[in-house]
Amino acid sequence: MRQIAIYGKGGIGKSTTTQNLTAGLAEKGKNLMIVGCDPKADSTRLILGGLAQKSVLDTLRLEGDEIELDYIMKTGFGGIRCVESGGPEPGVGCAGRGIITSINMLEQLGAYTEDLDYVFYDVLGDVVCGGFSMPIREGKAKEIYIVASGEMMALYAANNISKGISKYANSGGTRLGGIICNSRNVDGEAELVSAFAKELGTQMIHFVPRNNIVQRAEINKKTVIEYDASCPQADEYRQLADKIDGNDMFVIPKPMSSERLEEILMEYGIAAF
Amino acid sequence: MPVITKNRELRPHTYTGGAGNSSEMENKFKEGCMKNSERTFEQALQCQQQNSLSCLISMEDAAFVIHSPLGCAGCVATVNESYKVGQHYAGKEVLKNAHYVVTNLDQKDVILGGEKKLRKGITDVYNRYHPKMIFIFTSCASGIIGEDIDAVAETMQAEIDAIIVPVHCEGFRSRIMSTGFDAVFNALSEYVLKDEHPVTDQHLINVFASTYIGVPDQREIARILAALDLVPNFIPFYSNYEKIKKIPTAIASVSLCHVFADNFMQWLNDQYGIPFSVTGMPLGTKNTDDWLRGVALLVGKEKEAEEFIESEHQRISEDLGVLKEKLGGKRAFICAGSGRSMATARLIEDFEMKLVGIQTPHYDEVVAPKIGRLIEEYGEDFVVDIASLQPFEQANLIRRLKPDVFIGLANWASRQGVATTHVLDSKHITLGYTGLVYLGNKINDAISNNGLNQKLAKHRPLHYKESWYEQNPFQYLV
Repeated sequence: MRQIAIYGKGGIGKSTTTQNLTAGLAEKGKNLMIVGCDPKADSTRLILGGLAQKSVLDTLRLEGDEIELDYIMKTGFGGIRCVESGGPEPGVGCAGRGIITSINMLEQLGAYTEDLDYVFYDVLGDVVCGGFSMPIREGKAKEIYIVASGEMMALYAANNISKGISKYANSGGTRLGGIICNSRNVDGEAELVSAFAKELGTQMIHFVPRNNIVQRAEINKKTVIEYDASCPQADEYRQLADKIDGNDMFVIPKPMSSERLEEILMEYGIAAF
Repeated sequence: MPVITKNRELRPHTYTGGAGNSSEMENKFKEGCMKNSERTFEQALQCQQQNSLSCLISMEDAAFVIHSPLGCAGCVATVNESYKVGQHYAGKEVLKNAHYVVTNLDQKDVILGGEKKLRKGITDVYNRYHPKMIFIFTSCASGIIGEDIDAVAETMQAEIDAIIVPVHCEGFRSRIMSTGFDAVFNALSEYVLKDEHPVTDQHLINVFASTYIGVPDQREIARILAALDLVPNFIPFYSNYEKIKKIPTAIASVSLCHVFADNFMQWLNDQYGIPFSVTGMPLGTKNTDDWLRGVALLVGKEKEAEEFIESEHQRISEDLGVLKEKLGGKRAFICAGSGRSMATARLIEDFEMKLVGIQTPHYDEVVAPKIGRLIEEYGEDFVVDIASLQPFEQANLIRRLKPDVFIGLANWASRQGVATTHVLDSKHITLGYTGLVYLGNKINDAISNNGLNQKLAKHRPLHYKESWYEQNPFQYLV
């Protein structure tokens, strides 16, 4: 079982990429589970065809912890099992502790079955506290992919996330598998993200071009592969799925100083003008 | 005053670690160069929530909601016990427990927020006890999740006619547990005493001290103040809503401990023009003389004070003479809170004892001159260890210094065979001129009857290896 955590700046397209990518893996016949680790509980909408799911923490609040796994786990497109951690109402309690509790509860309820090929954790934008690093602690997710674009703030966030990864990489077995570029059509994007990835000691595993069909599929509560299996964008996600399935480059990232990051941005940003 | 108290360690030149010879410490402090004041290893730190609780628990018409996991309320058992001792000595036939509930924050509440439980806690204590004030104590757990206690208090206030007072006393916030006292006084000023329009009572004086100072001591203080034609308004121990509301009507304020209510007395001065005196705990003749003179100066009764001091000195001189004969030259080691340790070090001067070492939890601009004065008065140096207990350092020091008596929390020293006693006693008079004689006899009793500690040392010695006693006790201070 490969356990993979997807991190990245808020709004960069982690949930969209994760779901489209897992749809690609499912199409290849893999058994998957997605664990949404965002209090908004919107990580599995495209796989399930809507926000139909009871989150773990909502259930804990309303029903207590004496529940069956079926109550919180739903199966969607391609047989992908979906779980949402959920969280407290905005502005109260502790969402980070919520993730720790949810993952423990999933383990207790036996969600991690032998037949799973992949478990994906879709984690909130930044690793703001210990709770949000739970998926990469205690030997859970050993692989991490960061979703980024060529925008400065996305790279800044990716570098910051790498700092968190290197901390856990040194004490556990977690490694960075690569940067997924979710294109925003900025100047020299592929070159910039590649250079950034190289500086971190990793790779840009795939460049996902910007295509409005992703938006159309989302409105229809579907992944691109389900919405239009024959479109070029579906092939992009299939390629990403293949690359991740066959990836053998796992590194402890070497986060860079803010100055170095700015230098790379200047170099590639200016070159593009 | 802000609702959230400023931590004590944020006051300028405040240290929670450091140790050495008293003169060296004094010089280093004066030069503003307190090296080696960080501990790389610590055995214990106290929790400021306990101080906030102990401060208020004896308020007779109040109820308390402790917004924490169950364990945090464990310390209430101790403070509740001293509250009951106080009631007994106040002549109450039926002793009552403090009216408190704990919200028992669990994992679910930490994730989803514990406001619902807090509201229920407030409603429950209100319906059960009909208090005039409801104090809410925060905890580490409620602090970490950023629970908005003030908003809950504000919205519940519309439904309940008891005053709801949040006390921000998260245990982890400060390394100096006296910050817990400050949290209480900040809360009182913010929620109970703001915007009062007092008419001054020429005979009323606010006397601040915690529940740990007992009812017999209240009586001795009242007797002393009567010499200046003053009536004490004791706050907050064995106090009530009415007494709290009277605070702004007093003609002056004084505290029974230099770390207690100092900021609050300043606030009362700024807000209501009430002058105050900060000297220290009136333990022993020198401290009591200073304390009384400080009060007398505020109310223009210096002459009455001097007459009283003279007559009291005469009254106890014979007893004191006997005690000097018995205790003169005996070597003492003192371990107590900042206020009590400094005061005790001066108390034993009355018996012509020798000070060999003192453990005090923090060192700051108030403590430093007190240490300076002790050096001057004793005419020789002693060891100063700035430590919130730290039994490992204490055990090492006791072995080296071999005092005749250890005064303070004796859990560990007793197992080293040294005679032990303490001056914190809510069952007897310890303060003022009367208390001095009692404490002298108590110290003498401990030294003369040390069989128990000798047996403890023989059969249940401390667990440290011999090699620890050979090492520098302060090696973990860097």
